[in-house]
Amino acid sequence: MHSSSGKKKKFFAWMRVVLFLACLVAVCSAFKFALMPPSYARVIIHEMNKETDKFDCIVLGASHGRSGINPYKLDEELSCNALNVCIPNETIKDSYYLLKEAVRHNDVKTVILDLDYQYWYNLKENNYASKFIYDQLEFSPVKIQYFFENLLDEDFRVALTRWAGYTYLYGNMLDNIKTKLSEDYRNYGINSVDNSDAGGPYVGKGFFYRESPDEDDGKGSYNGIVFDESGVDQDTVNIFRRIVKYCKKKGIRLVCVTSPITPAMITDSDYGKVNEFFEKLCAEENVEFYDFNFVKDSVLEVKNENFVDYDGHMAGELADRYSAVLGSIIKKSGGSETQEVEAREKSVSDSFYSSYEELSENMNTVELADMEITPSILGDGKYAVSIDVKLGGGKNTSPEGRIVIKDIDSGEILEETEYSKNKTYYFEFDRARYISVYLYARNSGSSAEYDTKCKKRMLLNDDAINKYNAKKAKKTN
Amino acid sequence: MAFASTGFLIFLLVGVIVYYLIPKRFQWIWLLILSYYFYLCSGVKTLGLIITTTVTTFLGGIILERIEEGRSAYFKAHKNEMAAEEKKLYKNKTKKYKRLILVLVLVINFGMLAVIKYYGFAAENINALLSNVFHINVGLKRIDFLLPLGISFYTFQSMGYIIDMYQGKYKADRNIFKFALFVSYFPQILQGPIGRYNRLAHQFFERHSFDLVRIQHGLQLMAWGFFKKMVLADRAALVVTEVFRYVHLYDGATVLFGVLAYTLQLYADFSGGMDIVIGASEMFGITLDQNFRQPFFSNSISDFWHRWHITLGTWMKDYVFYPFSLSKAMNKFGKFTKKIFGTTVGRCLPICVANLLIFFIVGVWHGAQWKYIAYGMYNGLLIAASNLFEPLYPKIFKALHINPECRAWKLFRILRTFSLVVISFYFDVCESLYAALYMMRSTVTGFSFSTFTDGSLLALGVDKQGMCIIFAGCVIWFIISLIKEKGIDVRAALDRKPWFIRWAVYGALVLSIPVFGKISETIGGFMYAQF
Repeated sequence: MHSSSGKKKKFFAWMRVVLFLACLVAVCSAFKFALMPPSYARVIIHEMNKETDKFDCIVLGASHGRSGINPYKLDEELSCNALNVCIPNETIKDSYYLLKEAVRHNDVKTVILDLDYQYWYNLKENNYASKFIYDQLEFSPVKIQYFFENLLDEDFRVALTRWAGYTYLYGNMLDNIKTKLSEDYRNYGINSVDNSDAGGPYVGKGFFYRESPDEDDGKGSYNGIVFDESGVDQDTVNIFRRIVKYCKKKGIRLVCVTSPITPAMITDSDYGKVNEFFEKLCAEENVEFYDFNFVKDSVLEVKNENFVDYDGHMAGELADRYSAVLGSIIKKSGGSETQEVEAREKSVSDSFYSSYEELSENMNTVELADMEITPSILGDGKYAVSIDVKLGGGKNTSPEGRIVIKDIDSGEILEETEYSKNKTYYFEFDRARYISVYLYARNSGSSAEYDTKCKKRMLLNDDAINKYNAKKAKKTN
Repeated sequence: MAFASTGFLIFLLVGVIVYYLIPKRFQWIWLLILSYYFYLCSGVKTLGLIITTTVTTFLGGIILERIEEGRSAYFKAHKNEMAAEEKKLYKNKTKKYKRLILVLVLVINFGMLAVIKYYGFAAENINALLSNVFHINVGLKRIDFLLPLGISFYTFQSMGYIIDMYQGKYKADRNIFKFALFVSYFPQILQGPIGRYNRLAHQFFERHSFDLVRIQHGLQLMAWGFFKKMVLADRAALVVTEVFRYVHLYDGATVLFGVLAYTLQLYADFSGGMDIVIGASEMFGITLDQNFRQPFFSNSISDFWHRWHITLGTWMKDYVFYPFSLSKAMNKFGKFTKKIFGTTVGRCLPICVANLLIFFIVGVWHGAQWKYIAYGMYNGLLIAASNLFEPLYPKIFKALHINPECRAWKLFRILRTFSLVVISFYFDVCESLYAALYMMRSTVTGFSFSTFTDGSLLALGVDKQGMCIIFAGCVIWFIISLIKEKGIDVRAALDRKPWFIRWAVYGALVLSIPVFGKISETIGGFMYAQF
């Protein structure tokens, strides 16, 4: 009798534990459903894994790859079925697990890996947001491997209650729930997720055709390339080596590429270091590497205007041309399967400049025109702006610039200078104005109106200038 | 392996499951394996140090016991032949040997700790002293060694054992692996509590059966610890980092707010860490010593140190304070001071000196910086002053018509102690002694009440919502502390509530960690793990 009541007590004690855990899991699942935003990664991973369509060519990389590589063009050139699995903020680590996931569901023959130095140098990962691809992987050995290799050293909330990283977005809960309950979301529809960062319509197979920016709209802020091999994240290098090893083991042709970025960025000599680093790493690992920033103009003409921003997100028109060239280079260098990597690279070497020096020597126009405008209040309703100009081009160019300032409201030209090599300009205005500042740049002695230009707007009144300066001071601090 | 990591939770889960599945006689071996695995997770480079401590202390203990046994056997065998003088001589001889062994073990272990932790500080100050005073440039190179995991804690714990052995308090451990477990027991190695052999060893080697209630209690304590760490300490840390980033950046009121935030951060972080440690250990059936007992209800600094970092305080009391204050030299000093200052003050002075020594060591223990020494001396001086003035208190109460038993006076004493403790934390939180003194001055000279009302405190990294979370968390913690201060066991009281209330409380506690916890980019380490 006594023993049976003891057993009963024990049973209920355990039942309470089970019930508690079940409730906890249910509440956490509800939080996850409501808090975690719908993600593009979910759609593209589903596309990659679906049974009805098998892909033999996979493109991996981040946002540059997504806006730059049109898989339909690759299909035409390589007679394959390609899928662009580049996802903005996808790290090399993510690419490794996505590759393994792709191989689980497809017979992958070729992998194009887009190498963007920004994911190698000074890499700062966010505990929650940077694991967004893990969130969308279906439960599989790949997901388990991801967990054990990447989440054990993390705060337990990162692994067990990933929604905790989104509690600051509780205002979006209703929208998230509404979206996630929609049929489109359940069917992995592309419109069920926020693609505003894609900058254009979805074409299919992971490619968005980004619209060319308005000629007068700037390309955002220019942040030159800063690269030093000592700052390269070693974990990223190691995971890259694992990708190479995995592809070799599975008999997959791995082609590493760097998609073109704006020529303005290439004027920065640190780009030479980026190229050297990837060249060396790929040579060490015996992997094909093609840097399309080194491609000759005769093969692919690349202008700043072909990009949405300085950072290097291509507009659709260049993406189509680039993808066709990429396909043809891969095809041309393909040769026989037993061909050595060196021989493959050699077979297309006439399409590329052999070094940064050669590239720079052949850059005959001014490619970089950027400026920083500092407004100031002079008193008595008067204002001034000082403009620091940044110009750059190839090794043999001698850049010069010209400033034009217009009143936005009236369209009147307020200031206009001749071409000169000045680095700073100073202008005063007798009243509050809303102005556009144009910087035109060309090679010294050239008869061209300009090679490239830059446009920025500035509101000149006390309130706007104070706000601007406070913001700048905060940034500096 | 950080306590807050997923890896640690999995490690603990596997550890507990296997612990109760294997034959009970192997449980301590499993704990040893877990402890060394945990230690090795921080790197293999410093493994030699913990092994050296284990081996030297273990051998020291055995040798001390052998000497003592040899002496007893000799006395027994020659009981009738030995004259009193001869016995005394023999006793002194064995005592000398024992002291030699003790000193050797202490020098090896404290020597390692000193070199690793204090060499850089010493080199810097010797260089400065020689070049500024004697104009000699010796150029000692500053080397900052890699601080091994928990070195201060396991060294103090092991040295406690060897001193106890010297004093013949208990039998030496004859199994080096069992002793190794005492030195390296994983929950406490990172940040204490500093354990005692007589209270821990038998628990390690007892056979423990699975007890669901005990596991539940362990988990509850861990959850409470994570709540304090992630909801309170990590949020308060944002304010602290901002305020103490630059010495001259903020006005006095903001600095005061910053130091109050640091008080919360330190207490929540350290006591939260202790709850996690004690909770984790409880799941293996091993009860560790408490390190905190509502320290902010203390009515004096002396009382505060009986409630804050208790195991360090009792270690200092047992192994430094008593041996020092009862030493022959201090005895002589006591007689001398009595002669000069009279009985009352003369009796107090040796205790004051012993307290100053203790707090000097406490300061140095916290780190190789002058600010920590100042922190220790500040506390030592307050306690010494309190000891000296104690005989005057009744006269003062009488003169000022204060009833020391009334509530208002008790509350005043608590607030006064809290203020003195908060002042001591200036030394702890500021980057240097100079910064601490400067910020103390700016708290007084640059104080502006408007800082509390103009919203500038909300621009220090914690917004209104975050402040509300901190406030609510503090209120809950205060209520729990108040209940505990009244001698009520909160867990036992909760256990008596209907099961659905109990489990709702557990659920709310667990969920509050991800919902209200501070989300950070990197995994949060515990502050005392750096000591």
